[in-house]
Amino acid sequence: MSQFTEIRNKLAFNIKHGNIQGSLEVAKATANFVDLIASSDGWTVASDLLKIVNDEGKKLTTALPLHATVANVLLQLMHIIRAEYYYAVNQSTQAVQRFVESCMNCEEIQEKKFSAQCPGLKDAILDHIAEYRTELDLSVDNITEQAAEQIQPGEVIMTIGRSSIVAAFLQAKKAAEHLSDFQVIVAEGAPQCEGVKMAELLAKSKIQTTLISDTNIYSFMSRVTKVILGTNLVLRSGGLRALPGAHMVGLVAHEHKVPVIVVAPTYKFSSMLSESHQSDNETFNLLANPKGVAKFKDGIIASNVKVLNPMYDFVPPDYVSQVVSNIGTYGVSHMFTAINELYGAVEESAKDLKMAVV
Amino acid sequence: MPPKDKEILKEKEVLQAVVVDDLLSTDFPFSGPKGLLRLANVRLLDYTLSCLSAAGVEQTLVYAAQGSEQLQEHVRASGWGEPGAMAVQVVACQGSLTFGDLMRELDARNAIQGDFFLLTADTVCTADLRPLLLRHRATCARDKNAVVTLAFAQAEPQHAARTEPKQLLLGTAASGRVLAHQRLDPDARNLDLPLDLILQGPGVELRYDLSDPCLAVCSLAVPPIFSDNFDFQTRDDFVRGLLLNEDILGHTMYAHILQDEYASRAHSLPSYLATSVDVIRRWTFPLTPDVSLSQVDRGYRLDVVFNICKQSDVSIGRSDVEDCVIGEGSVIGDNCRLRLCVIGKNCVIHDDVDLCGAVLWDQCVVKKGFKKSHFLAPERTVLSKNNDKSISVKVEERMDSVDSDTDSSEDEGEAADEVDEYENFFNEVQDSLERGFGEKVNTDDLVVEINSSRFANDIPANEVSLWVSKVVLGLPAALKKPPKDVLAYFRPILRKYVGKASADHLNCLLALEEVTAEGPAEAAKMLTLLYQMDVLEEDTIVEWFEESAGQQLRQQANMRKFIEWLQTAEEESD
Repeated sequence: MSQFTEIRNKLAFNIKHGNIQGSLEVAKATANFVDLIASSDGWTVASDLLKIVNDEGKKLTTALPLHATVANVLLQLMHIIRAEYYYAVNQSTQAVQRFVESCMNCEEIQEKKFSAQCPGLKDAILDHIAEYRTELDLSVDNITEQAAEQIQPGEVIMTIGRSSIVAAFLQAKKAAEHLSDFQVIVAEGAPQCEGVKMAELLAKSKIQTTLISDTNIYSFMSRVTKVILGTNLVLRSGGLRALPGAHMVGLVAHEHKVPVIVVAPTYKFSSMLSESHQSDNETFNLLANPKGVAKFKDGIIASNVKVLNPMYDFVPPDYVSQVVSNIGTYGVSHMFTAINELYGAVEESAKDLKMAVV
Repeated sequence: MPPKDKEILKEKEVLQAVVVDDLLSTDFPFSGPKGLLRLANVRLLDYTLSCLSAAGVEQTLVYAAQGSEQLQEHVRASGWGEPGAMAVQVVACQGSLTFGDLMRELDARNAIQGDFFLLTADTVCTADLRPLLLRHRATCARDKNAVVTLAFAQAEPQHAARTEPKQLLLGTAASGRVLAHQRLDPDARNLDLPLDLILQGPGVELRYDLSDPCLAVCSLAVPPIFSDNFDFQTRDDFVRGLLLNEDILGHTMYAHILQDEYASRAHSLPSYLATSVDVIRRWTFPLTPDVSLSQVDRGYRLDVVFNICKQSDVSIGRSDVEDCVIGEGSVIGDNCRLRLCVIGKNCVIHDDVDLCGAVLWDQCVVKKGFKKSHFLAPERTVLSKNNDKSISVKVEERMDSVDSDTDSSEDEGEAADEVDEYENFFNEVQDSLERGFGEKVNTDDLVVEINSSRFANDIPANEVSLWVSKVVLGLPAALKKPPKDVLAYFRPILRKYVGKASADHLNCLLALEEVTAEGPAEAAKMLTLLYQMDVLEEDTIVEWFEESAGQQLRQQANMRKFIEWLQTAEEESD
């Protein structure tokens, strides 16, 4: 038990109970928590700080297994701490560059690293975390600014399910050019059918909206000029972990040669490599409660039928054309580099936040 | 700022929950407390606590009949009760064995501050409990007598979750108030329903598609009710007692149906096996071993394609394994077929084994070629074709419909039992009233005696007035005293039981008719007395006389005179 236990538990409780809602708010709250740890007196050298963040982070991610954003922010901030340490030690940006390049083969050095006393390290880390938090605050604005370039007048856009960032993206375009007529086709995204709420949201901002069921995605695709998807995670490979049905939308768009634009702020960029490359400690997908598909009270279903309701869909990188994020728009082939900049190389962060098996 | 925060804390009521960990069913080869029984390799208490912490409960009290140290140790080791999270307190109650005993212990310790969730350690529920609490509070604001809101899950007839031999029939008014709560004998041909159900008018619901997860929200008044009624042992006793006593205790109960949510109990072997399957099939999500069942990571990872939830170091040979939970270090051989199984830590399953719906606890060994389904194997069991020490349940086609063929002799036996109960009740009440009249005992004390015999003999509320009236009206003849004295003395009792409902008035008149069958001359005298003492009202008497009174009485001159007088009196007052 540490001095952060109480704050951590309260944070986990608030996220779990929806007092902190939406991945952006969750990301901000997690960054606040790390900021609190970094500004405390509980550490003197960087290795201590990394250890505290790692330990608290492990417990936080265990308590919140369904919020991948938490782990992303924690890992990105741990990378920031490492980078600041290198900068402080070498007092030169070139050293940081060298660090990033060299850590492919520096595992044994890692153990001894991060333990030197560096004056001014704490301030530097805190400044960098503050910068990160500002970036989070501005992330929605930075993304919606790009809406005008992405959506042209007269376009027919398809999306699936509900995503607040996609909604903001479309609304921004509408607000920027009052006369621009584009229309949106929303697939409901069964079994949660959040697409209904999405359509409501868009209709409120006077966007011409059509709601269809998932079964009609193929037949409507011929009219569509662009697919815009929200996602749960963007993997290093450029593939997506998105809501069920996204794979189908991607596949059908690919078939019709319709570009697929993914809107994802940096806190959705994951250090996970790809769907198939998962270690013992990571699970890409989950089986959620089948209650969305069938009702438990129905005796014959609950007693005799295996009802499956996977939580996510994997969208292969081939189906993704571009990723629009708050730090710019990337082609899928550049995702690996973009994510490396956020997390450091694969080997560096390989041991972070890995759960201790009880 | 800090002092201000403290003030807010003081004013705010702490939301509490009470988990009752009563004795485990003897079905289970397990000596520890109920909460430490493993369901899909995770302790039952973890399911309960996860559900409560998700509901925003701030303090949970676990009242344990046994093994409180083990429970305490488990709570600490699994990271429950850390600062900032839900506080968990294990209370040892040595000597308390039943649900009722533990509730009396709760009352004695005065640990409750306001409305609280009440559930047993074997309740598995994934529903959000906040709407249940809000519903209870809204009900209490409307009905000051409301003390408890019971939660029920839906499970239609023929459902695997209906493992109880006797299924629940629940009658509610439009407001959700519970009017009837019965466990139906599957062989019973008749159904007794309280008259209240019909008198309530439209909106009455009778439901037979519910399962009872033993989950409720209670008001502060509930623990004292257990202390006042030392004969309440189970929660069903409490519910039944509250219903029977509604007019005396003045407490009402409400029901809340958890729509499309999962809630069940693992209190018997059949229900334990059924709940295990529900966990595997993920109806309890997010309460599954791989997602969130405590503050520590259990290391369970899910294979989405085959729905196998396993810990590290599990080795599966070339076998057909699907829908299973498998603990650390277990080995499964080749050519096996496993379906819907829970396998503990370090189990060894040899080749050619075929299991379905099995639960193996830690370190079991299953020898080559073993085939069986729906059973529980305790720790370190060795199962082979010749030596099968597992505990199984017969999986039968459950007959949920009422029209199953019953043995006629059984029916008669039951009928005979019932007669005995009424006779007992009649005799007991007569004894206490005779003694009471002789010794001039306070009538309030006599009411208590009548109530206790009524519970002991399980007399339905609507019939009490009939039997009590019979005793009282028969007493003048039995004691050879003038009816006027006797009835005047027992007036409070008659007023209490005959009350205001017209059904009770008719019961009283029916009793009068029976008692005076041999000396009809007495009838008019007694009726006049009852009328003068305000026990009966003129409308009811006139109506009864014209519609249902027997020939013998109708021909009585005194009686006719009295009725005529009543009618004229009524007309005059009109």
